[in-house]
Amino acid sequence: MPGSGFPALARFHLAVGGRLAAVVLAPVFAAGFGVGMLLGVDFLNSLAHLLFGADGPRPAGAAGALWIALVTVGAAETAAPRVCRGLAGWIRHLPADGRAHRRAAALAVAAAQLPLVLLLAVLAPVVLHRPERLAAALLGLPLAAGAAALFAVPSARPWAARPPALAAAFLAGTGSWPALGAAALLALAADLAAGPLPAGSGAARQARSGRSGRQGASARWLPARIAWRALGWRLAGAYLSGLLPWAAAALFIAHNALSPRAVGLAARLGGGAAAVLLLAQIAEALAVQRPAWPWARSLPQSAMARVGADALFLGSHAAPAIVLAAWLAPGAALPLALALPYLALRSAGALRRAPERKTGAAGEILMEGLWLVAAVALLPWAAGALAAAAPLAARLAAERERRQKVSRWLAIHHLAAGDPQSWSAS
Amino acid sequence: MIRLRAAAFAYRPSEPVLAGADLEIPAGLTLLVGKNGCGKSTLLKLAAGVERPDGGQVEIDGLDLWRDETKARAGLAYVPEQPDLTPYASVAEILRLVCRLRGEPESAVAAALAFVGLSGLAGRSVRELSMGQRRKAVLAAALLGTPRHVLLDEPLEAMDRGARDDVLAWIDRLLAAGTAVLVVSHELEPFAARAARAVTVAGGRCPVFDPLPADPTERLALLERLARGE
Repeated sequence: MPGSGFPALARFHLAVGGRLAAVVLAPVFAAGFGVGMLLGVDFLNSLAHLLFGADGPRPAGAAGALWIALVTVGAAETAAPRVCRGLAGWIRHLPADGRAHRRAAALAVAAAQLPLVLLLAVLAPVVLHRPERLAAALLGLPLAAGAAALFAVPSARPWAARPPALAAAFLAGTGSWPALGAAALLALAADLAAGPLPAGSGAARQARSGRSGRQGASARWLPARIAWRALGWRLAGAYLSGLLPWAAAALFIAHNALSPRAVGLAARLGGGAAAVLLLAQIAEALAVQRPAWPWARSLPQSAMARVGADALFLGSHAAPAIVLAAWLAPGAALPLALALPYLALRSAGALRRAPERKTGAAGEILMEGLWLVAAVALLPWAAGALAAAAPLAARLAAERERRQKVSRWLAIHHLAAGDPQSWSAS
Repeated sequence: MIRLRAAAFAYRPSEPVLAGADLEIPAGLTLLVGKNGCGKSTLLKLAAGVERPDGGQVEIDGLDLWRDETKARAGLAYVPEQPDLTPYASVAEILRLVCRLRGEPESAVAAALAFVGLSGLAGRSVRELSMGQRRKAVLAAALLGTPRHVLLDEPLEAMDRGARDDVLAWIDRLLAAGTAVLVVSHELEPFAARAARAVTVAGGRCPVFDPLPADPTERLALLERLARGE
């Protein structure tokens, strides 16, 4: 790409966005791996089998490839906003073409997945001993990361680029040589089809697509509307993964002959864990996409009201997990419903500390929430104590809201979206 | 020469900012004036290649900004009103990128930072700077190389007294070197005497007032009227 500006942009993005995204992603994967190790001594072996299949002449197949595609796309989607934010602004006037901007960003997003690729590369030899199978699996990992980066980075023609990129990420994880070849071709096709980086600022595109707000709508719903706009399709993703514990409980109940007491316990545990996961994911997304709005704090509204609005938003979005738990065992609904206000208020409080913590809002919510729902699952009456503690949780969250340093800049969690002081405002 | 040919642009289809506008910005200072929200900054973004026109073309020295992207932008320097630099890079890292893309030695970064008084803040994220310092950072980027087309959106806003004088002296040097300088400013006095022509945005077009009255009082009165959208 002579004269396109690609080398300079690639160097810049690798040094800046890629570095930051890797710093964010490395502890996430390390924590996930650590939790997995705690879950069982055979975790490494089981995970390696799940991802790469057994060591035989035939490749792993669809299940492992699907998981590899999911984690690489997830990692790329996490890294891409950090690398790509503001690429439609001032930087576009520099002498580089739109394709070079997009390709450099994609390279940085792929490089940011290095911790994940290395982790998976360590796992592969655990189950794969045949050199040809191991080589195909190891070669497939960076290819999947690259294809996932092509999927995640914005382009002028996402409808043409994303399907082949996704297919390439999937095929790259199958561990078969013909599939690897097809994945490389599909990734190339995705790159060619993607075109340049889309022109225009995010704000302009948003205005053009008519998402700029209904002026006549009630101000009462404004905080919720802001949160929904900030979350966008991330909300669907939160439900997809957040409801997995409930699905596991449902399968456990369906495939085992259990006493009513055990069914109730499984429903409370599955539903409660799902609610906590939903709270953690939505709060984390809000912490990143809708950071504190300094100017709004000058308006005549109390810290308690702001925290209450967030708790209501989080709690109402976690409530479907309780409804689903009640579908498994009607008796599970009451203790979980009693616990939910406390959990939602604690989550609203965790949102206020997210920028200071390496684990963001999700780490705090998961650490506290999972223990508490486990306690409620075993001892349903404990939910009453949580309901009684809700006012205290509200006061603590409001105090955190008051003590927030909203003007402080912390790079690790801040994506600048929605920040009126931010560099992406133009 | 910056040239807009039948340029059309709208954030909302029902409210076009430009509708088939033609405009030529030759060497010299062109002052872009008008009411808030009339489309001055949008016109600057179109000329800078930050926004792409919905219709028509934007050319720099005969090169289409969106077909010959690299060549057309090679001599372009843009100082936006909102300094939208990535917060994840230090100011020095951003300026080094500009040097590489403009083919300038990276040693120019230190001189540019010294000129705007940010030498001690080179390692900071732009998010850690005040608004005035952020504007100085993008100004430092504009100083790198020898841009032939300079687009300045409210260049004196949030600047301290010394920095204002430095910016005006730099603009004088650009004008003496035959650079095309397009300035959006609500402060008319510093630019009235320097301006070769004035442009405004009204009714989707870009009316040009060239030449401006020679008499300083008449000239300022005309610019005042244009700035009020009259």
